[in-house]
Amino acid sequence: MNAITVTGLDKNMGGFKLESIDMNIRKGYITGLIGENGAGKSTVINHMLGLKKQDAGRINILDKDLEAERTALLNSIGLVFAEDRLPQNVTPVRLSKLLRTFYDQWDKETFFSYLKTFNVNMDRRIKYLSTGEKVKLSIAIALSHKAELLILDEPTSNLDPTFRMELLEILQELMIDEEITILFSTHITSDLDKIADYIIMIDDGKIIFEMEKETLFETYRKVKGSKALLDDETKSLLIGATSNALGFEGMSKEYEAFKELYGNKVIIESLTIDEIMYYIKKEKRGFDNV
Amino acid sequence: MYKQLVLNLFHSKWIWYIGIATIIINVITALLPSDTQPIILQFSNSLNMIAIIFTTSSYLSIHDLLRKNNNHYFYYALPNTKKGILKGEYVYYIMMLILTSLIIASYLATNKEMYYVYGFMMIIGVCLTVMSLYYLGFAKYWMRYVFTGYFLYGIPVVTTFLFHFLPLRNVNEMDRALPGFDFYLYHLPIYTLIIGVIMFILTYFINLRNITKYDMI
Repeated sequence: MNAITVTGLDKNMGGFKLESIDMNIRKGYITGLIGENGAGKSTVINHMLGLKKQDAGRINILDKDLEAERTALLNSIGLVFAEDRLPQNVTPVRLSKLLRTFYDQWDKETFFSYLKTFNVNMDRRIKYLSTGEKVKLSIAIALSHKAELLILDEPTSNLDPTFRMELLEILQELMIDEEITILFSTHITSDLDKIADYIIMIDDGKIIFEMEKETLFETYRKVKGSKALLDDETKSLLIGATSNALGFEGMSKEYEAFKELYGNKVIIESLTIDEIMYYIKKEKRGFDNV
Repeated sequence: MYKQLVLNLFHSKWIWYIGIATIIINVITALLPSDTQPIILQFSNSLNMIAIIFTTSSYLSIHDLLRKNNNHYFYYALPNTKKGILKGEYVYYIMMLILTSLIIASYLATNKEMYYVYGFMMIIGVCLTVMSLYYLGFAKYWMRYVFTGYFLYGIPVVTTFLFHFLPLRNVNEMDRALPGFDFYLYHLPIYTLIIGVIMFILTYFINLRNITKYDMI
């Protein structure tokens, strides 16, 4: 069962297009949405929130109509924007009073408790908070109104490593204690290595793949070997391959075939999500020799 | 509607403080002995003008504030319907017009020159009209043309002040008759106000039909 289903989403924004976006965000799981800067991650998220209107396609979130039940839907969604969009001339305390008007289940005690844990000054105007503190404030807001779905758009980009680990732990605890779904958009894929169940990659406004994380790691492996082994047939089995005087390396789904053909002459290694993205981008750009 | 109203009030408290302070000063001035009133009036004339500019252009200053730092992304992602946002905007402006009318009424209580009613009626009619023109594109453009809105507001209102309000005052204070200008000075304000009200209502229903069709940001 899906928390979010996107079908055939098309949007033309002049210099950038989303094309036939199909996505399934499974309920009760953490889905990582990866892509480089400008790939379309935030644009897709803006469509899910109703901030942008698609040219074609459908978006279904928590089985509610995006327009007719917008209030109920947004009550169920905890959101962290990629950039600082918070009102600057209010304090977190004053902001809490405003948010109480909007959210049906705004929990001020939980909000202040998170701010205390995150060490964010509640009585300082938001414009005087540091970048990291503003992100922590956004996260506290997202976690303080009993949301069923968390949409986190690059929440860890401006966080120190210690707090990043802390946030990932909080998210994992939430998954255990409560029935929530998390969509985690990021280009820091090492975070997803730890916590994601599913990975969706977007590039240039198109979905490249949508897979269970473990299946992704089983599907793709890095293959390295000497240049002598590189012929047209082996090249066709590689994704984003490069070669130099020392040898070749690339990503492949057919790593078993390489093992069978070349045995110990090739090295098969696991990949990180970063590396998978890197090879896919390389294949698209058509880089060959370094 | 209520949520958007709260949001607008949250961002316009200073306008309300200025408006209410102006009303209080006007009332106090009206209660003062007639020999001290002219001294206060010299100051309160400017204060009333500033207060009326703030109240009648409050929709622009709120949109400007909401757009700072792209705050409107944050606010538009809060639980609220698009129709609720629209209704809140229109109801808020009605509240601002009521405040404007109270400021004018309190000013007339000090000034006691009833011909000013026509001048203020003309200004409010023009403000309603320009506000309606700005909001005509609201469903499609939301807050993307606030700067244009300032021009749309400023030019007609300044023109109305220079070419209707001041001549109206001059004609009455200098006790001069301008032949053929009776319609312009005393009847046109009523028609302008009626047109403003009609446009206000019309643009509301046009926006209501189109509010879910376009990008908010």
